[in-house]
Amino acid sequence: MNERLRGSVVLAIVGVIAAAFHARWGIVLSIIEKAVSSSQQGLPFLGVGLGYRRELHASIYAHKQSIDWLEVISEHYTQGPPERMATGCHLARDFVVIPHGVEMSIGTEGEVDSGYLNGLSTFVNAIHPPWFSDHLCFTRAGGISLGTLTPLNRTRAVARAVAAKAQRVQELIGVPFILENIARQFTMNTELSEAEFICEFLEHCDCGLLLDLTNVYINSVNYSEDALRFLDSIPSDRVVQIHLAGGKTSPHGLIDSHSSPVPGEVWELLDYLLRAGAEPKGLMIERDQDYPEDFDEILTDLNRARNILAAAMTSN
Amino acid sequence: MGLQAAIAHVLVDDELRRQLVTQPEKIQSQFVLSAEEMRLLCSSNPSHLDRMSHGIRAKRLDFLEKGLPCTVRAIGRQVLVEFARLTIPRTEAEEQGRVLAEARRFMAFVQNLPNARLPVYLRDLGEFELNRLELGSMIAAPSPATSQALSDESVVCLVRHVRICKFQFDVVALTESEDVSIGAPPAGSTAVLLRKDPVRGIVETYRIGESVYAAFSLCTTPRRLSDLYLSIAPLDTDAESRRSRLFESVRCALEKGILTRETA
Repeated sequence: MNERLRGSVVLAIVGVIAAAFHARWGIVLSIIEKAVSSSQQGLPFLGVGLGYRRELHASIYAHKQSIDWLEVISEHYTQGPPERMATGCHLARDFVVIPHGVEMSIGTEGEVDSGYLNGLSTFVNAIHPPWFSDHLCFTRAGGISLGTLTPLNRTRAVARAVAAKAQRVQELIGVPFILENIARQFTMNTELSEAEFICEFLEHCDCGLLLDLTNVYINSVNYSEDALRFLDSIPSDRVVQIHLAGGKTSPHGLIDSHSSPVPGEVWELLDYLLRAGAEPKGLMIERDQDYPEDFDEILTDLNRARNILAAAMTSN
Repeated sequence: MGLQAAIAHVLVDDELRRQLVTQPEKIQSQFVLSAEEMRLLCSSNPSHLDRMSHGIRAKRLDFLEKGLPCTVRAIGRQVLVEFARLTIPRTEAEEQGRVLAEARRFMAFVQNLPNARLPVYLRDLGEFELNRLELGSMIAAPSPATSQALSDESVVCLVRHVRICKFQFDVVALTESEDVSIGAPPAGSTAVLLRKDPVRGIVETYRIGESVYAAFSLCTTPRRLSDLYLSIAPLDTDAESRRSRLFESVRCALEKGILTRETA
């Protein structure tokens, strides 16, 4: 029995005993159901955060009270000289810091690189994040380092293999691990849809989902997919964190460039998801290029996320 | 091999992408793909693969620009495009991060280009920036460190936080220039001492004179400067002039804080 199930069963048993004691058998089933699906509930609620980039350092510290937490790119701190890790630790003294990897390449056939995991483990142990994240994709294969998030062959077998590997990574690091859906730059006629693949993956591990709503939107535009149907299809109780960003338009479609304010369509998806009952522990604005001269542009996105979250919590 | 390897190679190799359309059986045979894997690969839109391939190259050039900013500005766009097209981003070079990996690949690439295709100072400038980048990344000195012919008379001398380099051209002026690609290159050999501040992690560049360069260039194997200092401190001042210069150079460097004594 995995950790998630074990914890959930304990919760369910406690609930069942309490309900039975009060002879309220009608709610026993719902308690069991809720407990089994609430593996993410032990995680703290972080609020609305921002992706840390060196270019934004001064503005982040100048508006510290408006930023609930930071997400950092893991590899910026785990690769290279040790003082980089010290920089990450310095940030963690002032903010809750979530490490977000781009090069674990969990989807690559075979095991995850042990040197990579050692570096990540050291960093996680140094900053004590409530969870850490990476992407549901591969970035390396056949001796090639693509350096970009590449879609997987979406089959049940691949979903289960990646789930087993993610579970091992989570157990090794000792902190909840969540994985992010990517903006696909190409697509193949695979056995499963993306939503089906994510469901299959989540069903076979205890990891959470980092739902990038901008990627959902971009895929829906570039491949004529139904974004709302996608959101309806994934288990919303497994959504731990949400990414929000703005992309750019090219002659070939939308690009996930994190270079502009979050577009209206993505805000609508957030509103839809939250009103449908998702209870993420953290929302985050990503901005990686074309940094605005006026940091208010980013603060506006942070506040809008906060308002949508508050409105959904009130109405739910 | 398999599907993932095929995807990765197809994405970085123009010829393989062409073959995927014109001779898919070659791809199937090269990567030992099943019929189902081949069906999947062929189901991808070729223009999407092209687009992703261009995105990968653009990203590589972004990393290169971060590592060797002046070198990239100084070189023609065509050379950069060729670099991204003709070199393969192998995984083994990535352990210190993408920026350093691309910088090293690029310097290896330009070593094989005809001189006529490069500004005369380009190799010097690239090696200068690469040395700074490597020092910043705390890459251990090659052991034993050897005199490397960067330009004809360049020498790299390494200790833990320090490198001494000599270049045919004034690389410091080149990197300080607003636009390195315009105007005649600053002439004259330039020796620099690169020192990484072990606390702040910042690499500082010091121009050094001939005597300092001569002193430190004696140190052709990686060794602690403190050892060097202690070994020459008792020297009789009447000893040969070169040793005297060495002593004076190290003493001055220590006094000015360019170098620090390291305890074992």
